[in-house]
Amino acid sequence: MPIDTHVDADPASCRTTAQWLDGVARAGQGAADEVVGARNASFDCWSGPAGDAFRDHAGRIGAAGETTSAQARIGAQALDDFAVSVQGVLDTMARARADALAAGLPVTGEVVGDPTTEPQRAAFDRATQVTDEARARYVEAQTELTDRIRAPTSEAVAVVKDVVLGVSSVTSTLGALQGGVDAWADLADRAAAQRGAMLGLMLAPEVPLEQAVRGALQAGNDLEVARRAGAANAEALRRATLGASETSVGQRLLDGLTRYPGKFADSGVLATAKPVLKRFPVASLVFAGVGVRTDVDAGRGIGSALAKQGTTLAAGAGATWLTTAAVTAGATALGVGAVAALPATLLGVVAGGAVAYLVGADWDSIESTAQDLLP
Amino acid sequence: MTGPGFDVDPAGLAAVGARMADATATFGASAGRGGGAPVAGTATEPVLAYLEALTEAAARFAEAAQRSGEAVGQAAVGYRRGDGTAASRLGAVPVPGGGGPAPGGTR
Repeated sequence: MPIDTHVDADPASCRTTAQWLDGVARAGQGAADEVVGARNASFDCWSGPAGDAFRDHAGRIGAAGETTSAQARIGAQALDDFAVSVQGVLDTMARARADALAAGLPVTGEVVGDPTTEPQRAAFDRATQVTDEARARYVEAQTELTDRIRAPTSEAVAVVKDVVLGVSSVTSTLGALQGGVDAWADLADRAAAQRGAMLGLMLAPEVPLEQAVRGALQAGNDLEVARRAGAANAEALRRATLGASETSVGQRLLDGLTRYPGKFADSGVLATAKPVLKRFPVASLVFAGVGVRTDVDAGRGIGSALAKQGTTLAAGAGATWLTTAAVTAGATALGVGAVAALPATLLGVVAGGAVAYLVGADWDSIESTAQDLLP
Repeated sequence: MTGPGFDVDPAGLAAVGARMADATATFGASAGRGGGAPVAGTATEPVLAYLEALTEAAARFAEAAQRSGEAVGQAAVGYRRGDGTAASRLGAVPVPGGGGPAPGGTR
């Protein structure tokens, strides 16, 4: 059967379109920057409800321009890469025809005819193999081009973001509850050890009995608070997971949610940084990574996406810590430490989530303000 | 021009409007020329659909920026005119003791 080496693609036309798209991407980015510049300039001359409405409006127009520019850039690169691949395929097909002709095979236009002699058969088989491989590369290049220009639309990215927000809210809440259980268990262990030590000191002649008794009572009180607070968190966790937190699989999953870089480090920088690192569990880092990816897919630059997700993560963790610490301190001052343990954990999660959401939602304004402040 | 709830510099506002309207002039010219007719085998149709969608998105962006800029320019004119109208209306109100015949005219 004859070999058809025709390739129905034209690299030159693809390169022309890629150049046009590159120009659109550059002009689009410039226009979007101008729109954002006009928006930022309005701060100096237009305050009030209408000015705020304009800035909101212009911010969204600027974002749309950046998205269009990014999509044009993606298309330009995809078409350029496709043109390179197709040129390679065309060169391979041309060489196959030339080799076939040299071997005495009939070549008409782009078609290599069937062999009539045994030596021609070997050349024909080689030509078949080479052109089949080139054809496979061509099919692959077409599929890749189609996939790349069908990059996620902003609507699809928004859906992914909503799903990630929902899943990360659930995992953060469960992780925080599990973290609360672990933290109170640690505190209970320390209080139990302290009480044991104080009880031992009662028999030591050089320690005043009153001091040892007072220490033992305080440690006993701390132990009771930690046990009750840990039990409240564990009960909330059991209810939230419909009892799954008490199974071995559930426990393993919850341990995974609270795992953080350096959790098992006993010494060194990681061990020293544990109090900070434990605020950034691996699950949150994974969600931040997904956030970077969806932001880049939506047309944001990699630097801006990293800054956005990093700031969101840090602001959320900071708000959670501050809220939990403030509520716990207040409850301790009022003598209701154990009762407030669960509300403190949940308030911390809500505050952290709200701050992270607000930072993410208003990132464009935050970024442009920061850029204005930088020299 | 300052009031309870808003503070506007009409000249600055007009500049913002012009900047906004001009922002997409180059972009519109660049996108409007069209991207040609790439031939890419089975990917040709998806590529053409992509180019059409991109051109539409570019046009929507350019139009939104253009119309917003015009609206801001009109707002600047409106603010300035409102201020001028208020000033002329106040100027038309006679002020007691500011000259002219006194009521009763016995002077």
